[in-house]
Formats: sequence, structure tokens, C-alpha cells
Amino acid sequence: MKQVNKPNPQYMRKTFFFFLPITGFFLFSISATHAQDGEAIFKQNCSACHKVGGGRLVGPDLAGVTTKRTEEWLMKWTRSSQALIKSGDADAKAIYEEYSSIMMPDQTIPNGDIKAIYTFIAGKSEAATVAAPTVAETPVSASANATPEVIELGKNLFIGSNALSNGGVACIACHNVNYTGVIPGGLLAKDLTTAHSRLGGDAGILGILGAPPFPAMTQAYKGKTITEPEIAALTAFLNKVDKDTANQVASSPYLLLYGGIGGLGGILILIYFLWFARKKETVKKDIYDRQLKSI
Amino acid sequence: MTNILLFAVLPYAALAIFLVGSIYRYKNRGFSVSSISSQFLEGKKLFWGSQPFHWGLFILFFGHLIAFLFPSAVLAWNGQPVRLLILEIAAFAFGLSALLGLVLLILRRLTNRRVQIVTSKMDIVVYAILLTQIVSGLLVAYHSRWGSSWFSAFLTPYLRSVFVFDPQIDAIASVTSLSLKVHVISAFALIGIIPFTRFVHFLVYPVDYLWRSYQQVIWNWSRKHIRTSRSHSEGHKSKNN
Repeated sequence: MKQVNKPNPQYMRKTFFFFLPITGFFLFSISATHAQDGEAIFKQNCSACHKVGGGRLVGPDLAGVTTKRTEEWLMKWTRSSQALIKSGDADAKAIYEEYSSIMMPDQTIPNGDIKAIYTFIAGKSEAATVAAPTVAETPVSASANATPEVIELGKNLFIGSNALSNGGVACIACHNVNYTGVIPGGLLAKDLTTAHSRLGGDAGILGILGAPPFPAMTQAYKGKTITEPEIAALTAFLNKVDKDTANQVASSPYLLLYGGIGGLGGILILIYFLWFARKKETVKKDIYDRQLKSI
Repeated sequence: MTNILLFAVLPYAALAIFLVGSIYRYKNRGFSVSSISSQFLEGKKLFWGSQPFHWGLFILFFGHLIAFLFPSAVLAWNGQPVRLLILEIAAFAFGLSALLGLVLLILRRLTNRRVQIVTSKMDIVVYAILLTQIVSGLLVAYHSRWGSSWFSAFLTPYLRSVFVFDPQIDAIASVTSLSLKVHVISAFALIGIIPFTRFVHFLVYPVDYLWRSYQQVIWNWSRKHIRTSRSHSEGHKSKNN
């Protein structure tokens, strides 16, 4: 009897050898394009907090890091610095504490991309060591000289009464600052009252606002980049907030709770009056009562 | 891996179950698509449970829907701090209202003999998931406040990415607030169990009652005549009610 649906082994082999090179080529080209993009990937994911030669920002200067640490260690740190610290790695803990215990966000980009970044850092480090610039440890803060108008603009951008020109959400949605006249800010992300000094002056804030490295913030500002004048104004405002911490009166954080309870009272009163003429007993109450009595 | 399961697989599983399950139930068990009201059995406690609960849930459901559909409008409204406060306080009040109502409904179901008779296991599941949902929502609103703004900023893009079959879970997975994750996960779980519970009643809510003409019921007999009639076929007014 003839078997109709029997696969033809020769045909399968042929197809397999036909597809193998094509698939292989695509996979190779994907990894090849990634390999070339080390610098771009670095700019997109790392440059908010790191430089390669030229001093520290929020995080350390990465010049020479590829020779100082093994690739395995670097990969663990990049994937999840907190996991590495929790595993008891003394070096990781020391670095974390040296940089004001600001957590580096876990990176979820492919291994190939991370390796491309390492290659880029290694290449750049060689050039950087030749120049070997000595970097001043004190943070440079041009924003300290900002005019009151710029600070006011920064405040308005922060609370949202001046909208960010590219449609990004106002900072107050997720961040709090203690500043007279500013309502309590959001609590989803870090309090920014002392952010200016915590992030090492202007550079840290400029870096983070220029290319937000934290996933939720990246998502919020995707395609809605904050413009340079806006970043400058916000930096000036945060500098002012940080310097004046002691003099600021934070508004009551219980506003939401008290307001909510008051609102609940209002809703209950409204329900009471709107349904005042309702039938207050069940239709068959008398029947049920009588039957319960008879049990 | 857990994040992929919770924020990329669970949403699709829940939506698929909701769609297929609801259609199946409506087609094959049409008469069970109901809130299975127990108002005939107990109405007094039901009123103060059901009213605050349903108004709270109704407003919050549409609040979430608006932030999902028109994020830029919500952000524009929140542009002035006073408007942000009004929105957040009102939303929080409706959240408290839903919580109060739900707690009263749970107490009623647990303590009333008549209602206990008609309580099924799925009703307990419904209450458990609603309680999780409302409590976690209130915790998020309070401890990670100004949710109306950040929902529009980064949760709307996440939800949209789910609906265009390109789930971007980095942002939601990176959130440190446990109550927010619980809120999102239990929301999808709630959608998934709709077809198996009395939740289905929201699909058949008689919205046309809002605009249809009113109907007046007129009894076509004289009450006095019936009271005095000796004829059995005309009936006697019952003496026990």
C-alpha cells in the first residue's frame, strides 16, 4: 500500500541545508550589528551615570574597568548589582557604599549588547589613559548661579504648571521635594529633596534627565525627551531645593487621607438622600418573619 | 522569568479566558448571566453595602479606563497642583467607599442566614479577589501617591503594549512597590475569573433603562370591589399580608 503522507527524507535534508545558511546569516548579521554599536548602546544605557575617562558622575568612571575586573564579575554586576552585593561580594558592597548607596538599575539588554559595551569601554580606556585627566572631586555646579526666574521656571516644570514641551509627565507625579509652596510630591520614586548633592551636583542630574536610566522613567519619557533649557531649569530648581532644605516647610502628607475620609462622608450622605424614598424592608419581610417564628 | 509570566503571559491568558468564557456562558448558560441578587432575601444591609461599593467601583473603573484611553488629557488636567489634588482626593474617597461597601457586603454574607444559603464557593473567591484589589489599590494611592499621573506616564504604555501584542514589561517589572504589582496582577486575575463568577453581570447591565421611556403599571381592577366580592374567581385580598 502506498503511504501518502510519508515525509521524504531527501527533501527534508535539502530544505534543512537550504534554510541553515540563511538563518545563520541573519543571526550572524544581528550579532554583528550589535557588536558595532557599543558606543551607541553605552550612550543610551550608561552615559547618564558613567563616563569613560573624565571623572565620576553618579557612578564611577569606567576607564580601565575591563582590565581591573573579570568579565564574569562585570557581567554579574551589570545584570544585577544588588544580587551581587547580596551574594556577599566585598568589592561590590564597597563600590555601592562609596557611591552613596545609589542602586544601579538592573540591565535587561542582551548579553551581546553588554559585551559590546565592554569592548567600547576597553577601546576608549586606552585612549583615555594617555590623556589621564585629573578630575576635580568637588562637583561643578553652574546651576548655583541660576537666576530666580530660571529657578521659578524649574519649579513650575517640576510641579507641572508649565508643561514640558515634548509632553513628558511632570516630575511631581513620582517624586517629592520639601519646598515651601509645593504640594507633597509622588512617592513612586525617590525623594529628590537632596538629590542635587546625592547625585554629585549638576552632572548627575543632567545625565539622568538627558537619558533616564531607570526603566519606569525611560518608559515615561520615551519619545518625550526633556529639552536642554528645561533640564537646566530643573537642575537649578533641585540645587535650590537641596541648598534650602533646612528652611523649607513641607506641606502635610496626610492631605490625601483626610480629604479621602471627608469625601467618603460626602458620598454616604449623597447616597442617603438620593435614595431616601427607597423601600426600606424587603418585599416579603412579614412572610419571612412569620415563617421564622414558626420553625 | 516570573515577571514574564505575571506581566506578559497572565494578561493574555486572562483576556482569552474572559472573551471565550463569557461568550460560551452567554450562549450556553444564558440564564446564569446574572448578579444572582439576594435583595429579596435581605435588603437593608445590602443597601449600605451595595451602594457605596458599586458607586466606588464604577467611578474607579472609568477613572482607570480614561487614564488608559486618554493619558494626555489626564496629564493636562493634573498640570495644576490643585486639580491634581482634587482628582486624587476624589478618587481616594471613592476607593474608601468601595472598601467600606465591600466590607459591609462580606459581613452581611457571613452573618445573614438567608444569604448564607445561596452563597457558593465562587462568591468567596469573588470577595477575596475584590478585597485584594481594593486594599492594594488604596495602598498604592496612599503610599505611591499621584497614581493618576504616573499611571498615564508609564502604565498606559505598558497596557497599550499588551494590547498591540508587543508587551514591554521592563517598566512594570522594575517597580519596587509590592502593592502596585499585586494590584496589577490581581486585576488580570479578576478579568480571568469573570466568566466563572457573578462578575458577568456587569456585561449585561441594563443600560437602556437609562434612556427608555418609563412604564406605568396599572392594575385593571377595583381594589374595593375585590375586597367586598364574594365571588371566588375574582379572588380575595390576602389577609396575611
